[in-house]
Amino acid sequence: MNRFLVPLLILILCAMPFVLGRGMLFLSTEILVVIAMAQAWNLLAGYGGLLSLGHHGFIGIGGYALFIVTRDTGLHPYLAIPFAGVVSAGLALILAPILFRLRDVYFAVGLWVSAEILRIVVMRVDFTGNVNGMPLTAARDLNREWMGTNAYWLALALAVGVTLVVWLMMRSSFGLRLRALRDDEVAARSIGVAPRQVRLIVFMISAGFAGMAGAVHFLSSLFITPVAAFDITWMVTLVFVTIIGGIGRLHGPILGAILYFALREFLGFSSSWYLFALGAAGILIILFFPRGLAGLLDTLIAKFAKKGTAS
Amino acid sequence: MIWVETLLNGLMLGGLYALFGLGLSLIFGVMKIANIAHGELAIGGAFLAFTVVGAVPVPLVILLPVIAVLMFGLGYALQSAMINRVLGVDPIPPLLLTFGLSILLQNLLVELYGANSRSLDPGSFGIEGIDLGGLSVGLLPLMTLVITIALFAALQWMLSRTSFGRTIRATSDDPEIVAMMGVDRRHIFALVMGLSALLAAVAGMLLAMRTSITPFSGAERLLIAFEVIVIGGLGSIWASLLGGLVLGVVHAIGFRLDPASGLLYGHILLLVVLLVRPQGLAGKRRTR
Amino acid sequence: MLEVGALDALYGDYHALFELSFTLNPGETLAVVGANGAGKSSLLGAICGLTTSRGEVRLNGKSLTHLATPARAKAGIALSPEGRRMFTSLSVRENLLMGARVGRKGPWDISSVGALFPILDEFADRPAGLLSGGQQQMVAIGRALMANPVVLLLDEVSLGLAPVIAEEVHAALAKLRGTSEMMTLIVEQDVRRALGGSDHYLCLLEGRDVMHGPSGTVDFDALGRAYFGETAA
Repeated sequence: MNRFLVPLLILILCAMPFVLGRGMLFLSTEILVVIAMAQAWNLLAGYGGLLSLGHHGFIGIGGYALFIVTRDTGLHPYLAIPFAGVVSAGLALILAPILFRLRDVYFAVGLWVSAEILRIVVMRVDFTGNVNGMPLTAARDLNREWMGTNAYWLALALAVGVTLVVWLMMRSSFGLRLRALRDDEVAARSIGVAPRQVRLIVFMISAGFAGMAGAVHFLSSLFITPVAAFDITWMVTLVFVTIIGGIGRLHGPILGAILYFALREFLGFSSSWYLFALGAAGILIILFFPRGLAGLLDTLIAKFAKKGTAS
Repeated sequence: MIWVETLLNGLMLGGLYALFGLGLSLIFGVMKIANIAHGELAIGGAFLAFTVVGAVPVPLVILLPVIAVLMFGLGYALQSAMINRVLGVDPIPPLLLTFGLSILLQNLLVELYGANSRSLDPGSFGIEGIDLGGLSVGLLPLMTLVITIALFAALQWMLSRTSFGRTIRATSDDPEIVAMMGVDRRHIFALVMGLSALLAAVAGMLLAMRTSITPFSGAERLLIAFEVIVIGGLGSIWASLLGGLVLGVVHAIGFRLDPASGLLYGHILLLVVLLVRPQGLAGKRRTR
Repeated sequence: MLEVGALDALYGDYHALFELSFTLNPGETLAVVGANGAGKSSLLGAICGLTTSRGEVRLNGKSLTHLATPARAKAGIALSPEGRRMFTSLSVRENLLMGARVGRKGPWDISSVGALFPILDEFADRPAGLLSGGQQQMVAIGRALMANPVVLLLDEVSLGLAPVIAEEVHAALAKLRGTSEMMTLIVEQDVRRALGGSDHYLCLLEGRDVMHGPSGTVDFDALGRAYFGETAA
């Protein structure tokens, strides 16, 4: 069933720009970007057991990488997106020897501190436009009429691509090794899993995807500032989207992102009440439904299937 | 002379940093978890103090202990109602839970008090200073350092000399076997979280006397507390004091050379320490 | 009197003990023997509440079944655990004081434990983590005695100890026998030594009682077969 349903769904999503208005298209782009980011974060935290509180650093650096490379080399912005991913993955490669000395909460906060360093440095360096940020000088290469639609398609391609890569990884022996490492490092080592190598690979992939998603986001807004690029709100969003949807599940970030934005749009809360409510919801989910929406859905489907076979 | 003064200021600032780290180090030592909402508990204590002095103008000598006790109660309640339920072999649920708590508290403060910055009026000695052989030392920073050292000494005494402290250390060593000594570890954990919240709130109030704070100040306090314990090293509370003092001096020197640096040099120091001495300056074993 | 009735021990889905029943009278010692994984430690765990269980545990007529471990400890169950489980950052004296924390009155205190194990007196201020295995075993037994227990559970008392040291520990345990109303359950690898120091024995195989009786009149051949699960032909 999924074999036909998923491609059909993607096809429908591809056609959405011809149906949606400007505002909805912009919102959909944002949702897709967040899905891509949350998948990247979930890959590291949910499957890898390495919780990051510093993914906003990779998102910001990805955004800046795109703006700088298109400004200085004249590379087409769309082609610069993979470059942004490489830069973010490279940053992960540099940070790994330091941060892999830390475990659990220390790793998480260590990454946060690294993101802070990046923010402060970018704010103070003229090369990156310091505190004022910079416009996308290559915007003149883009077709104004199609800009929004293209951004949507890029975001869609990225969200689908990241989800596909995570899915394939988890079906491979690499995914098996990764989860073995998360569940029991001693046992995993004993069957020949190399912890550093496996963790480094997953860390770089996660960072690279976060960077690409950051690049797509700031490409669609045509302007970047340190405050927006290295905003901790990115991190808050990713954590809540994934917890609500279901951490360590492929469809968790997707369900979570849809619910997150639906509630944000329809509740009409002030942003601080909304974040307050998210905090409360996150706490309740961790306490009572640790598998999130995805887990809840699985339970319902299992119940339904049972009833179906019984009747 | 200016460098001696910088050093002195750094040490006094570092005392306050150490106090932020102390509560975090305590819960990590006993429960092997960290509390992402530590900064919000500190800032929340200061905001609670704003409300109390706004309603009844009490002197600081009364205000500080009263708020500290209230925050102890909050810490106890949070641990026994929530965090105890998710403690287990997987370190991620407590981490995510306290992250959720931190966002919840931060935004509750925004709604209740607005995003404007505020400070606690320390009264006349906020501006007074004493002359130490040609050096002018502010009375307030000096008092902060004295309170910090007194709290460190009190905690050290409690841990090493009292029956309660012995139980805390035993629980940290083997939380399962202490049950055979009639100890309910969840109760001990809740008391320790209460103590941690108390220490955080005192630090938060002292901070609000020397500078102004907003509901968003919690995050940077968490990072400072975290840097204090990683730089100092885990394992002993004196390591936290050392970590705090070193971090304070680095910030003071950084500020002198480069006034716009903010917390940058402290952050860099963290990475340098991790690179060259991952167990921390005074740590005995690996930080994990 | 300790009464155990239809006791099952469970680790999640794994069933470690099946419907075990026995009674023990005041002052008596029960030796629990069996191969590795027979359920000996699970039995002790189920009695003190560290292992999830079903069934009855009654101490002097009072049911402990629904009590959590701390409450069972306060009712008079004390454990010297397998692997000794020292509080490594506490001194020897502090470890012993932790044992007294349940607040039960009786003959055992720092000085009487020190009289039983003189080395503990001598090393009172050393960190328990730095002691040798035998000394740690003495701390573990002393710590359990400090609770002035009604039932003393001793798990693997001579595991990993040099024979001379094991001898010393057992000599001290022998001094305890018959001196009080305290009941003792002892899990021990060395079957002859266990039976020599007990009134009754209980042999477990895959979580089931395969043989029990008074230690004095045991048929070692039959016990050997029961131990390894060979049915008498």
